[in-house]
Amino acid sequence: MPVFFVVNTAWAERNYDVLLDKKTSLTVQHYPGKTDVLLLWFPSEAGITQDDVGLAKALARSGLDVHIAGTLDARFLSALKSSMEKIPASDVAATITYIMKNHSGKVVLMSSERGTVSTLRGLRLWQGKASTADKKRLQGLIMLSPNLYIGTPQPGKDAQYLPVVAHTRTSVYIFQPMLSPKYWWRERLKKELSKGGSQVKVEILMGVRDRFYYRDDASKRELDKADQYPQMLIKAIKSLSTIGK
Amino acid sequence: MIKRILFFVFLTTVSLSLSAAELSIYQGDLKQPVLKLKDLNGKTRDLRDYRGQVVMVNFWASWCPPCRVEMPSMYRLKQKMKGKPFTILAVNMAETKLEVNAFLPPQLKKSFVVLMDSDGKALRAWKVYAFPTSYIIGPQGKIRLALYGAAEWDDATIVKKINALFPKKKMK
Repeated sequence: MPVFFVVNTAWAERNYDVLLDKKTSLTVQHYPGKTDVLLLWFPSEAGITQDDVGLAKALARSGLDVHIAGTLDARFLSALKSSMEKIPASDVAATITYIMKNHSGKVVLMSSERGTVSTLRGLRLWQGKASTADKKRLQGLIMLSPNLYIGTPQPGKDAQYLPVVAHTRTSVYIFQPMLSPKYWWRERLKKELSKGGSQVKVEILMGVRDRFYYRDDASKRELDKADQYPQMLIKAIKSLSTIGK
Repeated sequence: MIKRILFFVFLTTVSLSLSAAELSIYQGDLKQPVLKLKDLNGKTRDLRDYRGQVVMVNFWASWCPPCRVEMPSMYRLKQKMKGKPFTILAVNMAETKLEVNAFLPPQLKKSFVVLMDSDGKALRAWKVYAFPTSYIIGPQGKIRLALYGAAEWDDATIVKKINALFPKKKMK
């Protein structure tokens, strides 16, 4: 499917649209940075929050070129967990294709919570069609508190991971808050991701919960960690090429 | 201290609109999982010692908002079960005794047996993927009901389901 690129001049200069089909476009918020590393961010089920914008600006000030894809709005989906499975993998793949075509340099993907579902699916779809050169430019994927279970876990049954998890092949850096049930199952997720050939590193975030930097009820510890998070992300991005080596 | 009491009074009087899943017949893979942990006083408690009772095993943490919200209703459930062989084992997820003691008001510490799962062994053994998760164990020691999420535990429907697990008294 051809991808057409439209610059929407009605928006601030830092936004642009990726045309997904004749009727649908996806708006990308762009926070320019000066380095050649581009962060392509697919948001969680919370959509693009004000805290996400704050994080993007902090990352851009540190030099990262940040692009946040409005995947929910593109399909008129509400900011709900249930919406995330409705985001077509092709939307994510098309956005990656656009980035690769219009920017040179290295690219890193990022997502969190249930946003990781369509990110992994889109990545796999893109990898199936991408050139070797473009695949080399993709450094890997950063995930915060990924929720990659099939449906809702049932009491007394091991949660199952979506099939795409075991078919993911890239360098993966996971930030997992310790105050979360997912903390206790991190090794299981790591094992599942490794089945597809992914190299995985998990960094535990002590003393904070899932969604720590965009919670309404954030504790002091979470607020402090949120301040540190941009630098932690930059460090993680720099280490993607060395995971598993 | 006064703030904590007022907080729980508030929670007991406010109608909670918990959009939790229903307490349902258990369909998990675990049959009679082991639960043997130390309580807040350091005494080892074993689920097997509660055979003959109906036991609620609740996995929680003080940093978990729905866990906090449902606790007053768990207290009210315990009050409604007064005189019946019913125990609540509240399994705390890897917090310190200091944190748990600071969080729980005295009346809850009296009503629940708080167990400390400091290394997550019980969580993994009981296949807990979300907080809170609750299991209701019947008098024979088998898991009969389960719920992932928070609930209004003194809701009439829930109380009826739990009451149905007690052995029926024989007619004289």
